Amino acid sequence: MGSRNARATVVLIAGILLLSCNIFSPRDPEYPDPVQVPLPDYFNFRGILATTRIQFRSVEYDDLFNDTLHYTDAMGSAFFKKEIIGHLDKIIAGIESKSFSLVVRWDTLPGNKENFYEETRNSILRRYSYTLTYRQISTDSINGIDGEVISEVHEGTARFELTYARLRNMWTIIFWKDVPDNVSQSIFHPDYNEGPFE
Amino acid sequence: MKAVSRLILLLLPAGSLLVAQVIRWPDVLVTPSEVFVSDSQGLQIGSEQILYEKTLKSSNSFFWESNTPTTYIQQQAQYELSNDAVDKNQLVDFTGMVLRKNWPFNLLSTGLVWTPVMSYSSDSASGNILSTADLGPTLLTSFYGIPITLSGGFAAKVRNENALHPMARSGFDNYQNSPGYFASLETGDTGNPLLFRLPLYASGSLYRRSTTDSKVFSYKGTALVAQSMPGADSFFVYYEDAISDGRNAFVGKSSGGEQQYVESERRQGRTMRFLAGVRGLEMLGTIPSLVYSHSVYSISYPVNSGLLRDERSRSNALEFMVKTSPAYWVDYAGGLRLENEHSDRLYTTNIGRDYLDVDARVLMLDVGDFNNYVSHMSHRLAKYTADSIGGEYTFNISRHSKVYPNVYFVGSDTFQNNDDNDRIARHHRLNFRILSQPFSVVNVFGEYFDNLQNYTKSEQSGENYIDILYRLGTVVKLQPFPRCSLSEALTADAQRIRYRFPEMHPNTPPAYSREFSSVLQAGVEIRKHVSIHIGWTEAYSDDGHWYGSEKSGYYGIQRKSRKHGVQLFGRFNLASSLRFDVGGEYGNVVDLDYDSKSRAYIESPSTTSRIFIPFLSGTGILTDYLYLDIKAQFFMERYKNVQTFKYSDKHNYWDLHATIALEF
Repeated sequence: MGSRNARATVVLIAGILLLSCNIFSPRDPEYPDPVQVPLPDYFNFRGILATTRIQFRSVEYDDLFNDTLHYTDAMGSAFFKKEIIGHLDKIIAGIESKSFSLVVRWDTLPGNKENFYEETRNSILRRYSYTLTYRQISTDSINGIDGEVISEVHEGTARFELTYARLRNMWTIIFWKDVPDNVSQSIFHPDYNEGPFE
Repeated sequence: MKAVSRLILLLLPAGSLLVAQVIRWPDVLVTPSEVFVSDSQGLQIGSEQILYEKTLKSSNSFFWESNTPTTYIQQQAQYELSNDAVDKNQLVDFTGMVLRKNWPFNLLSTGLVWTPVMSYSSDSASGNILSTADLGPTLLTSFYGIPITLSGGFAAKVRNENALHPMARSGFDNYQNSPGYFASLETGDTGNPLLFRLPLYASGSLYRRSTTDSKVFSYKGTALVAQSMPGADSFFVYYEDAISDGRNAFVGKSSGGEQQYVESERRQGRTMRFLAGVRGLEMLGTIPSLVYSHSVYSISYPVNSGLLRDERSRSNALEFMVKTSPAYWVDYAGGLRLENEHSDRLYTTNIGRDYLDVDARVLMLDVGDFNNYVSHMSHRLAKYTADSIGGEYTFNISRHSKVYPNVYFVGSDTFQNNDDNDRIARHHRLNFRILSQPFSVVNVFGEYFDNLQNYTKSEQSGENYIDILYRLGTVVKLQPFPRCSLSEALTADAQRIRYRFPEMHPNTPPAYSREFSSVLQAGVEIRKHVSIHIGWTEAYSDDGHWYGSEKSGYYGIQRKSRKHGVQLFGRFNLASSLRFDVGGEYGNVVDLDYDSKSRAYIESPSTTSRIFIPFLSGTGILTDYLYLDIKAQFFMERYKNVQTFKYSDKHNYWDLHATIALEF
């Protein structure tokens, strides 16, 4: 009996210590800079819900993508959240260091207006065609002279399923099917590794 | 937003959503139940067909096995098809094995394994076939009762990159193959103790496959020690290590759209998990348990590290759980989980101190390394009387706190991630069942959610906010007559945003929204096995912004939405566990937008719609061996034309779902 009381005492003390550590309190934020730099949305994910009344609470990838996100390509191969985020961050690193410009446009499929989706209280299904345009100014590394502008346009269709993360009060992408035109892997594909996106 | 289809699930009872239990005893720390293999024949046939949003997914399987004292035979056949407007993918798998027991010696069984798999992908202009096959002898024996299976033999990969019409016209001219070998070793048994009286459940497997263009090696080992003694605490230790290493080859499209054979980069992956847990004896009416876990996940590309895709994450977590014993006067279950996760990108790249010459992309990715401190706590307290009157309270809170530690200074450039942040989510729910009689049940509930976003650095802290949701609801179920049932569910929601620094948002006042909904359902049994059911849904919602100060401000509504829905169907109970529903749903959504010129709410044609959905569904067990679950719906959507304001834009489509399972 004595050992049980001792265990109960240890558990009680540990609980009090933990709760006194403010493990559920936020840190004190610094006062905002007068000019705020909004989180960049390089891939225009906010545009997915542009024609609806709801919107993503955050475009930070940890918030934007559900923990059980499945990205599938045209061949049916599946990739998970960690792989998608790693790949998108790699592209962003390329963009920011090489001065790319990247514009992504999401359009509802032509001829179907906004009909291609279904919404319940917990999920939304949406289909889009997308156009991704990037421009890069090639630089003469020897003479430091800006050269021609390399411009490419990629197109395809995408299907998104969004789910409402109830405990976090936010919409998250839980399924993303990406079918690029003419190629098997789009720029969003975790294995895409061509041209300036190497 | 076109919200017409929202009506479909509005007919579900409100407030029926449950919050998933996050803190719970891990599945891998459960003593496995013993596996029995019967000496008999077995046949399983399954089929699932889904037509959803004009995408067909079909999955069909056949599994047959025969286990006699002298032979074991297993054959499966699987066919999968996915077909949307763009691509068609098919896969066929004919894996099987035959084993002659105790031949040529006792305790040694000999046989043959085969694993032919073929996939065919096509679109309107091109197609490709990729087929793999393993074929070879297999040996099964045991060592001190531990089963060991050894297989090996011929492996091949066959491809055709120009197979729009496979095997038509060109015959086998376009087919190319890559021969090789495979070998595998499996040992252990996760369902039975490894050695008599020793509570160790372990398994291990090795697999090697090598062809001229792809080489794969994988290993996986698991071990569980589960010591559960009567009259004492129970201890569990689990270890799992899995490694995969190799490169694959597949058929894909080039940037020009042509089919081509692609060899992937060599990739190494590792997943390691270690868990240790103790489940205590009852103490002061409660049963405590404690679990520690450590995991490592890594991925790297040893041949081409320039891909910049290697990453490793490590996690340490401690969980404390407690629940009351069944005999205790109140039901309580709760726990606390503390976790520290470290994510290390480019962990194979040594950036070092002299990083000035390092590629800027490497530095930009490396500042994405983070430490994530996660704490989560949940409680559930419930007390119901013998008459099922009572209540319960649940509380969940979680905090994710991220820190990005890496900073690099290159000339005047600073490479740093300024997104250090806290995410804190809280949820309270209180539910009371105030009446519970044989013919009437009344529940009332209230919920409170809040979500905090807190960036700590000045660059982002202006975006800090808290999002608050209040919900009240009631569910009433009545049975006024023996053959008549009635239920009503009412909910009211209010949601608002509060900025941490409102002065940073002078032109965007915080969002505010409300929603009220009512769902009435009734069912009448008109004769034996036949009943009629009706549902009626009314919902109103609005959203806008809160203007002015917190106390003396006002709510400016930007959009109002009204939803009306009715459902009518007949239910036919054909057998004790088989029923069919036939009926339809009708819904109408009307959205009104605020027009600042006329200062009035005018109809929004782009989001106002009507829908009619006739449906047929059936579910249940037809015989002792046959299970089916089917549902066919035809959606007829009508949208208002933006010019004419008439419901003239049509959109019709089928949604079908059928699952059939047969087992002997």
